[in-house]
Amino acid sequence: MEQEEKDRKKEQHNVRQDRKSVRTGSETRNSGKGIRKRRQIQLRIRLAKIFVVVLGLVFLINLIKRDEEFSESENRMLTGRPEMTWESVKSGKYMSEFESYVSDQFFMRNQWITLKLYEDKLMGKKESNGVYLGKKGYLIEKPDMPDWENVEKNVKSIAALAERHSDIPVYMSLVPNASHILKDKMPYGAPVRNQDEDIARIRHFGGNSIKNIDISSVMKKHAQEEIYYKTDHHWTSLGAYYGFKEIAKEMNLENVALDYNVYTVAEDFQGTLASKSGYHGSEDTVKIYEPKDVRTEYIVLYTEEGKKTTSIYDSASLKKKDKYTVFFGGNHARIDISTTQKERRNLLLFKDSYANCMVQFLLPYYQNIIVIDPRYFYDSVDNIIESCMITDILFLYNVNTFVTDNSIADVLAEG
Amino acid sequence: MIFSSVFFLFVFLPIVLLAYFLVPKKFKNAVILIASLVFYAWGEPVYIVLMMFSIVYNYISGIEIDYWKGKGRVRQAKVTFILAVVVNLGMLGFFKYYGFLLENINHILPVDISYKALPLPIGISFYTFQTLSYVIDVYRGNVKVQKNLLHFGTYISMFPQLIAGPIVRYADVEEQLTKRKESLAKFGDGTAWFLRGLGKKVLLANNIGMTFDTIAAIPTGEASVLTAWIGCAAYTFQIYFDFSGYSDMAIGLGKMFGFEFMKNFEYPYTATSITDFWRRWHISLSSWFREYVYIPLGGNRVSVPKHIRNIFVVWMLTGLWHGAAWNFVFWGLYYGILLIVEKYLLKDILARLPAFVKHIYTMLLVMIGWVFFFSPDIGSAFGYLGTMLGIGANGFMDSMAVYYLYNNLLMFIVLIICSVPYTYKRFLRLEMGKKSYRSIAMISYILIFVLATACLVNATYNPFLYFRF
Repeated sequence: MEQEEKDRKKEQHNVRQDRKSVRTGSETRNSGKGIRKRRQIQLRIRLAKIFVVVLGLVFLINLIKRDEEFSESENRMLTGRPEMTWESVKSGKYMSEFESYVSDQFFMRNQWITLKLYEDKLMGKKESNGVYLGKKGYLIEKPDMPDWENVEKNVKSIAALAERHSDIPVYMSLVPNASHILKDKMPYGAPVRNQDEDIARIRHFGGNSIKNIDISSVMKKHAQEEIYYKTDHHWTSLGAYYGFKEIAKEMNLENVALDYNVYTVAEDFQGTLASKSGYHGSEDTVKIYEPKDVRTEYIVLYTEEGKKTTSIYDSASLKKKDKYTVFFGGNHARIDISTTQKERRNLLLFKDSYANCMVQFLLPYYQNIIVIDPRYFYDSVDNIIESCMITDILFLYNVNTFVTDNSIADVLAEG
Repeated sequence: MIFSSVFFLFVFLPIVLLAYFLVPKKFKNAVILIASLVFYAWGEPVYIVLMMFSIVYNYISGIEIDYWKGKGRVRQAKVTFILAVVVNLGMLGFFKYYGFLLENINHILPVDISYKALPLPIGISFYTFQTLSYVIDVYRGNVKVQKNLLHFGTYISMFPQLIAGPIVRYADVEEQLTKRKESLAKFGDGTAWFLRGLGKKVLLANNIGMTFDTIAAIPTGEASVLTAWIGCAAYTFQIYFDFSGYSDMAIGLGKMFGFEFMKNFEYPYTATSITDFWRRWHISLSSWFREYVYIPLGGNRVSVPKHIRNIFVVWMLTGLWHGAAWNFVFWGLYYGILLIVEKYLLKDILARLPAFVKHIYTMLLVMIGWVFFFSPDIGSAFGYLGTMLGIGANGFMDSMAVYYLYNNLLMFIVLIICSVPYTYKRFLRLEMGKKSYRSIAMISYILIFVLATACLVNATYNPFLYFRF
């Protein structure tokens, strides 16, 4: 108790001393200690002035600066000034939006972000915002933790679809991601998910009604080639080409083209991983493949948008930031492709964006290809299968999207 | 709203500072009060009502206690006082422990009462302790009653220390509420404190926190011994730099407005015993418990069994204060036991040990303590501790451990350097030294400001850890 009393007295005494030293700083001017103390006070006063001026200036600059809608380098819409309503204030939505608004519209935002990246680099950081800063200029996306509950639900619904239409073969092809394949490009010792194990687990959920197409082995075999983009989370057309060869084998495609004309359509592509991590050190080339011997005429119909074209390539995308969207101009709920192919095979393709660069290889072998992205699609699948006389169904996903998807089961629900 | 955000720093703070220094003296508290209410409502638009109730209720209770005491009617004063304590604790209990309590009742008794866990009002643990310090001290006659609602509201809601402390006792700021002096020198002092705190929080704590988050997400059994230790060390640094950084910012902001708050941390990781550690960690909380719980129970001036009881009561409450979950209670009791053991068994042994052994002993126990603190429940805490000891671990070290060690080595070195008083003393010498030294000091402050701003603008990662307190 006495000790405690003493402690408290001492504390109070210290507080008092502190206060006193501020007040009487000028009185002890003559002693050496006084000079040193005065220097400190002067320094801190100068610091305070700088601090206040900076606060005021930044406040004014941000106030005057025009708001920007879109950030090229981050590849996303920036938050605009939120509208103030009683509801949004009560729920706190207004406040949190206002906070993002202020930091999204901060003056010289890009330069600040670059500075932050230099800080990270200086500290020896090997990852940035969920992206590994790999070797040889490779940016590699950190795989997400699978949501196994949803995965099981999705796979079971695929199996149910296969059982409902037992006369139509249902194929599933999961493409492993760069973190699994490009092991030697990963930062030293970086933890990786074994996606072969994930794929095995997914197959186990599906049972026998789904025909699995393995792409992992062929990707591993070609790991030294440019099968993934350095700055984007997609595989390249070359990667898709190797994948296609496996798919063609498993799906019994006939007279598969062996020679292709390869055209480079962009050489300065900096993809989503560059935006996400903020590192803009590498550039990628985007290539398209066209079979040499066969010529296929086709019409592409974007049903949702009601737009018709005669090319699966969207050249306008090459002028945009995300040049991977040269394939179909990005993701769409449903795309119908009708070709001049005589053989009556019709493919229903459920997919994520990895499949966008795969369709160029599939074109010559089907009379109709119906491409569905379950993330944006809400109609009945069974109807399509009936009315379009589907002969093959393919699920083509990259593992990372598949294990985090929560739309497949809903779309495949019966009816 | 939190201090380490672009919005606070470059919108809220400039406006408040401008308003505060433009208005004449008698309106200054009003500016702080309004700013504080906006600050609080910004994050808790609904619970602002709760805080306003707390202000008005305790204001009236104080006056009532004083009134009865003035009339010499001790009994009435006591009744009002007890009611006030019950209401304050009841509010805290209801909002913080209601869900926890029912969960346990459902667990123990054969009932199944359905309940909806309430979101915890930010800072309620902090401001409840402040209101309590006021009513208790008024009742005890340690402080004069506050008849001005504006001043009283300013004390309770004061935004610098509202949501993460330090817990300022009314007795410590009573005078300052009306008689404080703002000065450029104090403002400069405050700026220095604030920027140091900002650096601790944004540049150090957030950075190492990312490493902790990744390691904590590894399923038990997949981490190696070394990985688990790196994770634990990462959290050990994260919580210190985060919490003490936040306290430093609070103290700095206080100084800008002319207030002096008590120091909340005193280089806790240089402690030579657990007893010493708790003299240096979250000082405002431990001194609150000492003043209002431990000493009224008799402190150490009672028989040994009673003294042990007192320690346990205080530490169970301390644990519970940090969060409504058993692992926090366990964490508190863990410290209670350690303190008793140190007091009654280890006292003489510890005194004879060389300093570095005492440091290692203390840090090991503190790190084990943090495992209970950061784990979601006691089961996973023991799982994690097991991994640290090699039980159920994925080997002693693996590539993952190497990766995290290699990537954070520089950061760990910086963190250790920033944890010791020597660094701070050297820095102060720079501030007081010759011109070139002072330039270095100045550039350091500005660098902290600029680098922290860059992190905040890029705030994809800026978590706030104390919403559970």
